This record gives sequence, structure tokens and C-alpha cells, in this order.
Amino acid sequence: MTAVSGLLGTPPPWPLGLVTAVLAGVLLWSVTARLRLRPESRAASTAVYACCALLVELTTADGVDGRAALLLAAGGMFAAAGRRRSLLAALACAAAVALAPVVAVGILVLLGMMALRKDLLTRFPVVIRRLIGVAAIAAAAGVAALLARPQAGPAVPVGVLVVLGSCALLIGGASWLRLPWLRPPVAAVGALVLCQFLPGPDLDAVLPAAAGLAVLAAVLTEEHHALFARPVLVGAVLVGVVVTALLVPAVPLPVTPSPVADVAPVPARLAESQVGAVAITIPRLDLSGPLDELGVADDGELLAPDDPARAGWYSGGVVPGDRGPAIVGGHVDSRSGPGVFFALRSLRPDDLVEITRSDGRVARFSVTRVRQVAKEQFPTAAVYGPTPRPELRLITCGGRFDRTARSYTDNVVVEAVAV
Amino acid sequence: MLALLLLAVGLALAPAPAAAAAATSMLRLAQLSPDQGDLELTVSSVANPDDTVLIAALGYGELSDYRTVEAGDYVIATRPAGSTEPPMVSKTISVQPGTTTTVATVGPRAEGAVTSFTDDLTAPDPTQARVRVINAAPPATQLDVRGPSGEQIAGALALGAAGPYTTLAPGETRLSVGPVGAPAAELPVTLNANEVSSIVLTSGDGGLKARVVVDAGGPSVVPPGPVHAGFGGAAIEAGPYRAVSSTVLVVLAAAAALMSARFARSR
Repeated sequence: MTAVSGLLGTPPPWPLGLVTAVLAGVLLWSVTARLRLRPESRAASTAVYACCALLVELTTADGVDGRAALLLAAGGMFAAAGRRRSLLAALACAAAVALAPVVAVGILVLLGMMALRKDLLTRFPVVIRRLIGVAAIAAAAGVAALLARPQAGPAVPVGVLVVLGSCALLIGGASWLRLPWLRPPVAAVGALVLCQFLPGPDLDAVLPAAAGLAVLAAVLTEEHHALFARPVLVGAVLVGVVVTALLVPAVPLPVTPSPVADVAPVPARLAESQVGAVAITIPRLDLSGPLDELGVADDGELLAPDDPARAGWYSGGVVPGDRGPAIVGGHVDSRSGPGVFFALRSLRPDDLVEITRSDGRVARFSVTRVRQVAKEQFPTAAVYGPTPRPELRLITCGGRFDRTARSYTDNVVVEAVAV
Repeated sequence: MLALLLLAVGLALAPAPAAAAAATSMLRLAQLSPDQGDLELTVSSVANPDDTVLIAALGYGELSDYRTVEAGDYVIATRPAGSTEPPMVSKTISVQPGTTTTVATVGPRAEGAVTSFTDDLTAPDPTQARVRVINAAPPATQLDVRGPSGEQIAGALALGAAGPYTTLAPGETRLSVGPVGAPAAELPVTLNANEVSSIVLTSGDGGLKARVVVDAGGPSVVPPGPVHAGFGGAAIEAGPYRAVSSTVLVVLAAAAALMSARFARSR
């Protein structure tokens, strides 16, 4: 699946992402119409999808990554009936899971609930149907446990989750008996809320999750006879989703910084005052490259590296691994594409950062906090203030790009302590 | 039913953010006793006796690095290095969440005592040094400490005690230190900007000495303001597209919801 991630490449820059998401929604609507699904199922699934796309757009810094949504909407088109179309649907779901493994949790929960609610596998004996339902939910819990990083907190603000969850519960509770067709969308929203407590590598996981659940909710309620009459296919889809979720490591990595071989040979031993930082490695981002030295401008501001593909170390400050906060900066992008720290914001607490020093020592740091702050409110004290232990700060740009000022509005600051 | 549902949602969602990482507490040892240089210190959690940290023997006037500990009660015990005898001195201290504590051995070995004081590692103004003085210089039981321009840094500082924090200009400077009411000695110290330090006063053959121990260090030149590290090539553009697309999504969602409701009613 890494190949799939590679093929998909960099997320489309805004507004392409949101336009794609809107197109996906329209496509979803027309496709479900072509499938002759009941109008209410079509409407409900489109509403769920559109709300979630909006939610992602409003609550994430980078806006919408519409690729997974488009894939899933296309998947819905193929999912109507027939062996070949079902296979394509399964492939679309797998691709969405490859983009954001957290989607597997929602999909498995939904399938499990529908099996238990007798919306799926209706031709199977009750015992087997329930067993499969329980197994799917257990698998979802397993994937959730694998992905969960409790320290990171939910990807979307808690207030939004409370509202979303309350709506799902209210609608679901009120209509569970009288409006059976609403059950799958309600389960979809519930599963989505659940997904948010598994802080995945990227915030955009919400959208593919929403799209996947909405499409599946609509298609499966209508077409489960055609789709799930074949036990082999069901098994293959479930196994495929689980295996994909387990294999795919994280968010696709757009950055290919200069290889480590570019680093100048490390001198055997330097005087204490001449020790510097020469290379950085962040396993989570698959990032490994040399470090330049950063200075300050005439007005005292810290300068970013000249080369957007290389990070730099503030040599007027603390040497990484010595007591105090060492500062490493890097560009989020160049004029034409991603820079060395493009994926920095997707770091999460407990992720490892290694800095190789010119004396040959490797200073290892564990991420404690990742935050995006407005440049006007740059937390100078928290970034540069004295600390009792060796610490590290990684800094890049984030937020919206102001074309007139040719500058980003925010800074992304990663704080880490020595381990 | 509404209230119940909301309550259930609240209960389900509330604990997650609260479970965020608690503030870490830190502990270190100061060896402030001239003839206890071969003592090592064990710090054992009262709640979990297996959770024991050993801080190796330090020289007179030395401070160990900080160790991260969970908040709670700890038994501090000193022993000669490598010994398994019952502790010579044992004391229980309470570590509050998010605090930094220095545990110090003070006084002559015969009447060996353990004391502790809280360190305040608040950042100074980036152009200034923040210091305090620790009296570890027997036999003088009380010392007066004055800064380069005669300002009082600590008055009648008892043996084994830490004075209040004060802000001094960085660079090479001199402190006047002497027993209360007696002539003072001039002690040179070098301080760096943007650092929090403890100045440990020790006594020896050459009289009083001042030793600067950095509690918390930072870059001595702090660049003001943010970092401009992007050229916009992968940027999220601000413009009409966002509003337009968001509006389309809202309309789509609203229309779908309305139609859903209408179809549901007509069934």
C-alpha cells in the first residue's frame, strides 16, 4: 500500500482539495440516484458527508484532502451490484484506509453494527451473522488500540465532537424504531466520533472516514442483498481492510529531503565550544538530512535556512543535547512545493527526533507538544526560555499564506525533551 | 431523555482531554556538607517502594542533574557510597506536581541532616540572569550577600538554606559575601543571560568560594518574534474559493437534510 500512497503523492493544495470534496459530494448524490437507492438514504448519506467535509474544512489548518473522498464516492458508484463492481468498491475503501488507516475503525464498526442489526448478511444463520458482527467490532477495537495515542488528544475540538455526538444520539434515539433507514447514518456519525478519539497522523482522516461511512451506509442499506450475498467477498473485504490498516504506517510522506550521505564527514573530536549539530532524523516522518547553521537578521529575528529542502540549527543558541532548548528551523515549503518541514505538524507526542552532533554524539528527544501559534503571539518564552534539561524546539510555518505579505500567518512549534 | 443523552455524551467525552499529560516534577541532590562527599542518595517513592532512584556521590558544593519523578511522597536516605547499611539520615518529603525540588545534605557528618527547597525555574527577562544564593559554607551560620552595586541579594542566609531569587545583569560580576556584621569577601562569578542559576557558597582552605550552578539554561541571545520559514509553494490560499466552496457544501448539506426529512414524512 506504500505504493498506493506514493502514487497519490502530495495532498492537493487548497482550494483544489475542497473543490474535489464538493465534487465528490455531488458525485455521491448523483451516483446514489443512478443506483435507484431510496431518496432518503441518498439524502441522509449526502448530508452526513457534506457536514463532515465542512467540519474538516473549518477545523483543520490545511483544509480538505479530497482525494480519499473522491475515491470513496467513486467506490459507491461501483458498489451497486455485480462481482466486478463490488471488487472496485472494496478497492476504493482500501485506498481510503491507506490514506488514513483510522478509517478502518469506522468502516468495521459500521459493518459490525449492521450485521448485528440484521441489515447485513440476511441469508446467514443468526448465530453466524452475530458472530461476524461481533468479530468486526472487535477488529475495529483492535485497530483502534493499535492506532490510539492517548496523549495526543482528539483531532477535532471536543466541543465539536460533543455537538456531533449529541446530534447522532438524539436523532438515533428518537428514530431508531420508527425510521430504520436512519440507523446506518447514525451509526456512521457515532463511529466517526469514535474515530476522533484515535488521534491519527493527520486531521484529514475525518473526511475519508465520513465519506466512507456515508457511502457504505447508503449503499449497504439498499444493496446488501446484492453485495453481501457472497460470503467470500465479505471475508475478502474485511480481511483486506484490516490488513491494510495494519500495514500502512501513517500519512503519506510528501517530503524527500536530501539523503544523509550529503552530510560532511564528522570530525573526530572538536573542542567543546565548536560542537554543533550536523544532522536530523525524524523516523515518524521518514525524514533524515543534514543541518545548516542558522543566524539572525539585522533586526535580531531568527533566519530560516536558505535551502527549503534543508533544516538548520540556531548556532547562537544551545547545542542539541546540552542543557536548555536547542532550536531547529526549516521551511514548510519552497515557491514550488513542500519543504523539509512540510509534515512537521503531523508529529505527535512521544514521537522520536534524533540530532547528530559534530562530536559524534546523537541526542535523542521525545516530542511533548505540537502546536500552531499566530506569529503575532509567538511564544518566545516557551520556545527560548531556560530549561533544566536538554530540550529541542522544531519550528516551521503554518496556517494560511498571505500572498500580499508573502508570509504565513502562523508558526508550527514542536517541543521535545531529551530521553 | 434529552438530558440523559447529553449527560451520557458528556460523561463519555469529558475524561479524554483531562487525561492529558500531567506536569512533570523534578528532583536533584545538592551536597552541601564539607565532609560528606562520599555519600550517595536514594530517593524512594512511598507509594511504590520499588520506584527508587539512586543519585551517585557528589563532591562538596556539587549539585546533581535533575531527575524526573512522579508527584507524591518520597523517602530520602543517605548512605556511604556502595554501602547497604541502614541509612545514616532519612527524611520524607512531598513532591508537588510540576515542581522542581533540590534535596540537600547539610552540616557536619556527625550531625548530618537533609533539607529540601523548591526551585523556581521561571524564565528571566531574556537579557538578564536570574540567580539565588545557597549557603553551604560552615562554620558561618548566617551570611549576608550583596550584588555588584551593593544591593542585598540575601540577608542573614542560614547554613543550608537558599535565598530568594533575584535578577542580575549577565557577565562577569562580583558578589560581596560575609558573616552578618563582619567584613565581606569579594567573590567573582560569571553569569549568562537567559539562565537561572544557583550560586553555591562553599568554604575551604582559601576562604569563601562562589560556584555557579546552572539550574536552567537557554540561548544567551534570544531572537525576537516568529520565524518566517515558508515561500507559499504548498500554501493554502486565502481567497474567495474557501467561502464559495464552503457555501456550496452548506447548501448541499441543507438541501440533502431537507429532502431527507420530506421523503421521511411522505412515507
